[in-house]
This record gives sequence, C-alpha cells and structure tokens, in this order.
Amino acid sequence: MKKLVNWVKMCYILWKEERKYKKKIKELKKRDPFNYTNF
Amino acid sequence: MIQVGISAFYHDSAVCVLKDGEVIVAAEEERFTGLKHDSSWPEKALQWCLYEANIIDLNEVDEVCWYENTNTKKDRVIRTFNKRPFRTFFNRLKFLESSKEEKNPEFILRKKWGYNGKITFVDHHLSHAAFSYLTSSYKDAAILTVDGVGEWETVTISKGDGENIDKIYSINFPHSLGMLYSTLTAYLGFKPNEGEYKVMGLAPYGNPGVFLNKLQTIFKHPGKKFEISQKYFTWEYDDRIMFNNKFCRLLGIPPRLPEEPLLQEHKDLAAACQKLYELEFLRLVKIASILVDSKNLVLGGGCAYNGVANSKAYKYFNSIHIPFHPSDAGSAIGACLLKYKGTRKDNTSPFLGPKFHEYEIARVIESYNTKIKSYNLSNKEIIKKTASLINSGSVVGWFQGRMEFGSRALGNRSILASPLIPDMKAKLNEVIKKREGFRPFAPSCLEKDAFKLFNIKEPIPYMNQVVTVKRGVRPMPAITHIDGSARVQTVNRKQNSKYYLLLQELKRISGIGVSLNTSFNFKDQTITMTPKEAIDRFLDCEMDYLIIENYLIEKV
Repeated sequence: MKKLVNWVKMCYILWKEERKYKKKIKELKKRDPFNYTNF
Repeated sequence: MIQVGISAFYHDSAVCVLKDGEVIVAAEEERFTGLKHDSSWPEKALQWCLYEANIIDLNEVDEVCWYENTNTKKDRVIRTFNKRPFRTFFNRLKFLESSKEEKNPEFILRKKWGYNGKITFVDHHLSHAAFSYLTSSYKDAAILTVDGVGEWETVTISKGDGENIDKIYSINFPHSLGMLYSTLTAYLGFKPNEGEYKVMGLAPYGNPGVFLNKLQTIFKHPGKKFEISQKYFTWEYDDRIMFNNKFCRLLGIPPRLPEEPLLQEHKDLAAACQKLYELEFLRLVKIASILVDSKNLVLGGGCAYNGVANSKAYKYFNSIHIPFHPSDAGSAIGACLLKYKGTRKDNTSPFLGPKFHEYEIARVIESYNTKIKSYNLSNKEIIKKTASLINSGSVVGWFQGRMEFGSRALGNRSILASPLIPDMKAKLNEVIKKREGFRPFAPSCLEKDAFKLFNIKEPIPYMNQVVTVKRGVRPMPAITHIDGSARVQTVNRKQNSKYYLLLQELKRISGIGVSLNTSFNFKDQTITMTPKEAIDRFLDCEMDYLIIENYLIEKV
C-alpha cells in the first residue's frame, strides 16, 4: 500500500513537472524573438 | 575581373565586391536596416557596395557568387520534411512558396536587378573554408569549419594546399554542434543565432559538472564522427522552438524565459554547454591534425566566434588563423575568392564598410549645434586628447574611417575606456551599453606588448580568441573576466595606424598600451554606421565624449 502511495506521489510530481515544461515551451513558441528556422 | 558576393536568407545578409581577387568593399545589410542579423535580401547593402565600387549597372559585374548551393539546400529541407509529412505540411508549403521567388537569388537577380551575367553557387562550407583559408598567409593548412547547418554539412575538415581546397571529412545535418549550442542558448532565454556569446560570457560563473554528464548522454561517437540523439530536439520539423519536453526532463530544469532572473542553475547550464562544445570541438581539431599533415589550422563557420574554444586548438597546431567574419556574411567573400583563379591578394583588412567625408561629418555636427559642442583638432592633437580623456576615466566614442565588416568593433566603431578602473565594467554595462551585467569587455593592446600582458601564442588581430591575463602584470579589472580571461585584440601600425597611435599615446601617459574596446552600440542594436547614428547614440547615454574623425564632441 505504501509503495502504491509513493508511486502515485511520484507520478503526480512528474506530471506537475511535465506541465511546467509544457507551459514554458508553449510560452516560448509564442515569442517572436524565438522564431528560429533552419529552412 | 569584377565579382559580387552575396549571402542572405539564413542570417547575416551581406554583400561584397571584389576586383581581381581583392575585396574592395563589403557590408552587412543589418547596418543599413538596423535589424540585428538581418537575413532579408541585402538590397541596401548591394546598392551601397555597387555605388562605392563605381559600378553603375550590375551587368558590369562578371560574376555574382552566392554563398551556398540553393538546390542542395532545398533537397535537404524537402528530405527532412518527408520524414514527418503531416507535421511539416504547413512549413513545407511556406518553404516551397518562398523558394520560388521571394527567397530565390536567381529570380531576384535576373528579374528584379536585370542581371544577365554569370551566377555561381558555391557550397556553404566550401565558402566558409575558402574565406578562412584564402585570407590566411598559410601555404598549407588544415581547415575546420563548424556551424549550424549549410546544405547538408554541419562540420567539414579540408586540406588547403596552395589554391586548392580538398574536403576530406564531414558531418551532416541533423548532427550539428552549432545547433546544439543555439538550442541551449534558447533554453537559457537568449535569442538563438545571436545570444551565443552571452552563453559564453555566462559560462565562467557556473559549474559545468552539474549538467555535463546529462548533456553528454545525447552524444554518440561512431568512428571519428559524432551523432546527436534527435529525440530531444525539433530541428527537423519546427521553426518556432528547438527542443521538446524530453530535453527539459533530461536537464531537470525548465527553460528560462528572457525576462526571468538568471539563477545559478542557468549559469551551471551555460558552463556545461561551453564545456561540452569545447570537448567536441577539440575532438574535431584532433581529427583535423590526424587527417591533414600541417601545423597550421584555419577555422571557419559561425562557431569560430567561440573564442574560448578557439584558443585551446593550440594543443594540436602551432598556428591558427580565424578570419574577421567567419560566419555566413564572410562566406560572400569566400565564394568569390574560391572562384577567382588569379594570384592570392592580401585580403586581411576588415575595414571594408562605409566611410564618411569631412564635409558630410561637419554638416551632421552642425545640425546638432544646440545639443553638442565640437572642436576640430589636428591628427596629433586628437590622439593626445583622446588618450588623456581615456586615462582620466572618461568613456569615449571612437568613430573613424571605414566601418568594420564583421561582428567585432576593431577600432573604427568602438567605445573606448580605461581598462585600469575597477568599476568601469559595471558603468559601461549598466549606464552606457544598457546590457546584462555579467558580460565582459575586451581589450585592445599594442601587438608588441600583448605577449608580455597576455598568454598568447601569436598576434590576434580580429579579437577571436579568449586568453588568460598573465599573472603579476598590472591589474586590468575592466577587461579581465571572472576567470582571469580576456578576448584580446592585438593592434599594429599596418592594421590600423590611428588606433595604434592612440594605444601608443595611452602607453606613454598611463604606462600600459591597452584600452577597453567595445562595439559602438547599445543592447540588441547593430553597430553604429553613420555619424548621425553616432551622435544620436552619444546623446542617448552617459558617454562622456565622442570623437568622429578629428572632431572632439561633448554634450552642451
């Protein structure tokens, strides 16, 4: 049971981190100075 | 034989004119438009270059050389898009549309400029190699070019032998050291293709060990080459961002937005990025030393602006040449030099841009007579006066002769100050250049004294190597970075006589022939080109004096 709780906790932390990264990437994509292209 | 070289549509559009293998004029479009790293068709630069070279009609030109092979590049882009046909659908449409007319050099030259002569396309990395090698004094050399991407290649090693350049090694897209550096630049909240030097400046404040192992996991080294795992990057399909979630997960810190504060973790990441680049770059240098039987190394491509890594290449070579503009703009010259079949000319001067006559300068100064006071002095007087102003702690704008071609101000469009004053770095960063406080300033030094003050192996005329300041010499806090290094420029009389005499006079009065030299611009601006721009910028900051040719200018 304890293991399961820890695993859920870890999943929640990872999900939160992932959300933070995704939000930042979305924000960066909107920024004009970051319009980068190699084609 | 008259040749015109052009580079455009990636970054740093530029034009040059060569007469019988000698560069007469060269200029970047950004200086005319004010847009940093302007990549559009260099209309204004082309008009100015032709005017300055007394060419009335482009048809007087024997050959126009384009710095890369547009067909091969198109092939690379289409093949890359084909890997993800749905994801790249709109980018493919955009690319195909723009490559028909808007970004098609042949179309623009033939239809818009009415040019009927010869147009030659030279491979991107060959243009880099040619510019670097054919502006050096070497008979034989190993030529290493490293950049983001050309057509397919991102790294090449060639053998320079007389007039011939033979490519013997290459690494292809998407495995690109330049793009990895740009990705980390973007990750740290700076603009890719522009803010890389900020990452280099930030690196000494961090500990590379924190992220280095993580970054090294993305590299593989089959044989003598390297491969970069693409699962972390979006280089092949996205034109808005260069990395994905997986890369964030790998690093364990979120990307920094430009307005967010710089934390220790960002400094550590910058340090790891620089360290990783140095390790991979030195590996390539070692391979070059094995493949080419020469003690001379020539560096080209945008990555040759990484002065910290450049100076480490002496581990494998006795002599290194890096030209004054190793990135794409310089390739315009390289493409022409490669196609010119006559004897090699001396093309070592970076002072190839616009110059202004005295009457033009006098007219501009007069139009500002309510805001400034000016004094027209003799050559000798202006040098003495400027040296004494610098020595007394003043910050002086120095505007002389032809503008430099390249990213570095080498003594014609510079802001000068004393390297001996401890708070000069903070003053210049915060009050005058209005830029990030961590960024270092470079010194210009008399060539004959440079060996006594800095740990250099040979003269560095174009400020493209970072070396350490010697121990026991008089402290120069304004130009010494946190790790005891400096990106030094050595100056001799042949290279720039007026600037040389100024440094000589500085030595006479202060005992040290060194001046802090930073480009005449503020944060995110292009380097000053005209006297009007110089006066406007002088009035817009707390610079103490401005020297335009022999005019000493002060605020009213």
